[in-house]
Amino acid sequence: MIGRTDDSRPWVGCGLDAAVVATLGERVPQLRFLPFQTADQATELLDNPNCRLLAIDLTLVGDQATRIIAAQRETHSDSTKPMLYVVPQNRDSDLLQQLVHDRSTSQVLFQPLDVDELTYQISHALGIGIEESGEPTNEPGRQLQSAMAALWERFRETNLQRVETVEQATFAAQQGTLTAEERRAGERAAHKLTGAVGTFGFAAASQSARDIEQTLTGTDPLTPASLFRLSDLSFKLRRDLEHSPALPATPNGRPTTIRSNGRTARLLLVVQDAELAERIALAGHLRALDVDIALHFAEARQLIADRRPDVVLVDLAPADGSDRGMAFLAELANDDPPLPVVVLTQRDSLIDRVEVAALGGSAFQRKPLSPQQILDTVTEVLDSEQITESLILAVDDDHVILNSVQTILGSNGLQTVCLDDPLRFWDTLDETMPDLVVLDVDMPHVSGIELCKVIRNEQRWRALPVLILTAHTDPATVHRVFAAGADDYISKPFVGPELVNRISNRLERNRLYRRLAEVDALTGVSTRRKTSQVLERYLGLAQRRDDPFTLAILDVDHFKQINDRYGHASGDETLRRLGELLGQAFRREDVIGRWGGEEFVAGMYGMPEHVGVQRLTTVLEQFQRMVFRSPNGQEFHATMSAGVAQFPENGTDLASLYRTADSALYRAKANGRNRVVGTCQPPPGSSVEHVDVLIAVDDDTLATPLRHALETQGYRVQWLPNGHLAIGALAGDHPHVRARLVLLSIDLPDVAGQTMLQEMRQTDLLKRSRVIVLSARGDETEELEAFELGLFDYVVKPVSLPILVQRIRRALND
Amino acid sequence: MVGKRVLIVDDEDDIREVARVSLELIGGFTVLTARSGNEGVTVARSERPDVILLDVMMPDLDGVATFQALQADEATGTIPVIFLTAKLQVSDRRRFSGLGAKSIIAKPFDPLALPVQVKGALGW
Repeated sequence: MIGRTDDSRPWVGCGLDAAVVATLGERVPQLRFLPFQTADQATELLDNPNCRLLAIDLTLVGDQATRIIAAQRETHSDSTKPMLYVVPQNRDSDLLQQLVHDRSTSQVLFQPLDVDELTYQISHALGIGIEESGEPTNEPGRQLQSAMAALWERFRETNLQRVETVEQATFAAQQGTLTAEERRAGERAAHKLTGAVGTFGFAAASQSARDIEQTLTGTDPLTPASLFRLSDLSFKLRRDLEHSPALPATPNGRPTTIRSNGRTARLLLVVQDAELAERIALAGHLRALDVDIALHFAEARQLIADRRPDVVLVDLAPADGSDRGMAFLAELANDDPPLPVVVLTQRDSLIDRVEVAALGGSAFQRKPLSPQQILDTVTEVLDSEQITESLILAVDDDHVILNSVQTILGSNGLQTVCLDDPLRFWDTLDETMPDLVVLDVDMPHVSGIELCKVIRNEQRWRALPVLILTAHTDPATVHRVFAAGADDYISKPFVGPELVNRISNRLERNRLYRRLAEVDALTGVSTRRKTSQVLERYLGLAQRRDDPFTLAILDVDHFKQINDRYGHASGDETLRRLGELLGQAFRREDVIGRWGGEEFVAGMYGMPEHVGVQRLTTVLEQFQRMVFRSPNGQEFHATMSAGVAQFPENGTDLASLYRTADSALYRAKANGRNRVVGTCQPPPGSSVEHVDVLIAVDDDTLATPLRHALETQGYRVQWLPNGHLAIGALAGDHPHVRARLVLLSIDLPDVAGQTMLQEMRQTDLLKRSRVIVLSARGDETEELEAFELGLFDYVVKPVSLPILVQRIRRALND
Repeated sequence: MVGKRVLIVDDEDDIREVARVSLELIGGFTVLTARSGNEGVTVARSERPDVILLDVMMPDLDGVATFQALQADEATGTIPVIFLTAKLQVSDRRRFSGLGAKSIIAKPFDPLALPVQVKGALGW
């Protein structure tokens, strides 16, 4: 008998790999996963009322499979015990057709098995929410989680900068130029990462950082083995921090849409709905994709023949309800090499899913999705194709080795050109333009190490990744390998996964470097070169489509004084935080660049000038609220000014738009800075912002978590760090904020709280807003006076955040 | 338990903020913070918190030196101190307990568990 009686959890019978069963058990503790090997055991489970679902990997149970399926049919033709099958990626199997049309089949998944998908499907079939599992169910736990997410958002960049320091040390170590100072910096950064990222839940990254720290500790020279380890670890570190699903996508992280041959990637849209096609196409243009549209399958066939796309998006919503969509997918699947396909469908039926997967569809989405979401999937598919599109040149005089390299790489989708004569290396290199080279160390006439040195001496091949195959891994040989400028070595005899991993790591790394050249290291926004390319493209697009386009130039006010007064590190910090803010404030399709020094540009496609001015005004307000701290502990604030110009009113080319925006910026500076100046006035009436809570508190260690706690509960919050700003916003000549509740610190440095209260009373503000006063003194006279002036509540500091939130909520709801 | 005041001394903004939200939201503590050993000593003297969480590796005045400064001062000498450290080896543990620290919490810590660890160490 399987299972104990004192355990009331529902059962899932698993004819699956033991490791998969163990993982399922960990991830879905609400279910009992019982393994079975034979058809008899499966039948026993099917008969047991506790068993709610059977998951069977048909590639594992082999000839038992047919018997299990037959048993399920015969004995349970009326019951609805769901079955989940894992099947080989076999496109025209009869078995598959049978399964799909079997009523009890709840899902069919393909090998190689994605355990996440399996977990999801099992939980979904049994109505168990896996999202909740492992997560705290209590309210503070949830609050903590969202607070943690926001904190990571805030400190992500700090941690990525630490990774950069580690990478610099690693790189210098590989080049043999590592100074003691760089080594210490790397060690320190790794140490900080260990503590920090682990706390945010990146356990693997924390471990990598710890290992890096240990490797860098001390002053002993790094051995080739530790060098190697270092490069591996720092690669993993960045990958884990950048790719973890726990992370929100970077607002400005545009995916690569340039193919390895330098051409823009081409997307073919096969979408019947012309309006949807237009919207996706526009979004595609903004991501630098070349987009073709076909409204009919016949048109699509013609376009594929004429201008072969890199990816095809097919909408499976035929107006006439026919199955021509599937037939078209079948055609694409038979194309050689097959075209990556993303399929959109309105129905999420099992049959559709299975058929699309069997036809090689790369992704599958349910409508309705926004064009941006649809394109996210398209670019993901393109990115994953990018690596497999890479070409590798392998050079070895030994045919056996060459053959096995080609076979291993080929089965992993990496194309390989083999060369057995090292003397023909240069010609082959020019002919094939590979993305990576594998060289054998011992070859007649010329050794791999010599070839590698020659490659490194050639300007245009300097960045080409080189891996050396060697039977000897003694320190002397390894040293020669790295000294020659090779990126990595692979010891012979090699094992398949290691070879593939090392090669894909290098290829991915190289793509990363390309991306780094487009991102400004300090501020995280695009470099000037990248920005002007994108701006030119947007302008061309705006012209063709007759769309609005807004260009803004921003810079930090009195930047030189910040540098002089608080040090260059503070100046850098100011720019970095402004860059971060801009990245968050703008849409994914807007382009934000650092133009040089303290100057930034922002290009907003499809946005009229007054909207751009509004957006920048929000940025300006957020920026002036930021508190900076110099290395010696002085706190300061910074402001920015911006000039805005609009296409086509102020010019149709970048140079003339830039001139207009620049002179607007000049006017902003001349009129007292800390303002946004456009060429037209915003429409009246749009300037008053309604918020639930205005926090007029100078202490950011209180204001930041408070603001966050309120925002996660759905309140609109604005924070102004000093009294003048608060009075100006609420009561000045042009009040631009209306708040239901004001949390007012009575100890603001610039305006006494009593004065603020009187001011608010005089301007009738107290009739419109409730006020909670926050005081550090808890002075009875002060409290009485404040109540007389008409405040709602009086809170004495220090106060715990949850209690303060409670009192604010009471004031809002009472 | 509510109303207990915890002082966090750590030079890393992110660690400090995570510890703060954890101790406030989950633990219900009132949290004070300091960015350096020196600042920690000053705040401890004026605020007399119920417990101090002290990072070991800080520039200028490090955790151990800060601890000694706190011990030496009559006003702060009796406040229990818990060390936060990423380098947790047996020898460290022995060294810190030898100094008279109440407990040691390893970095990275789990923000959900931190308040429990603190309460456990102090028998609250």
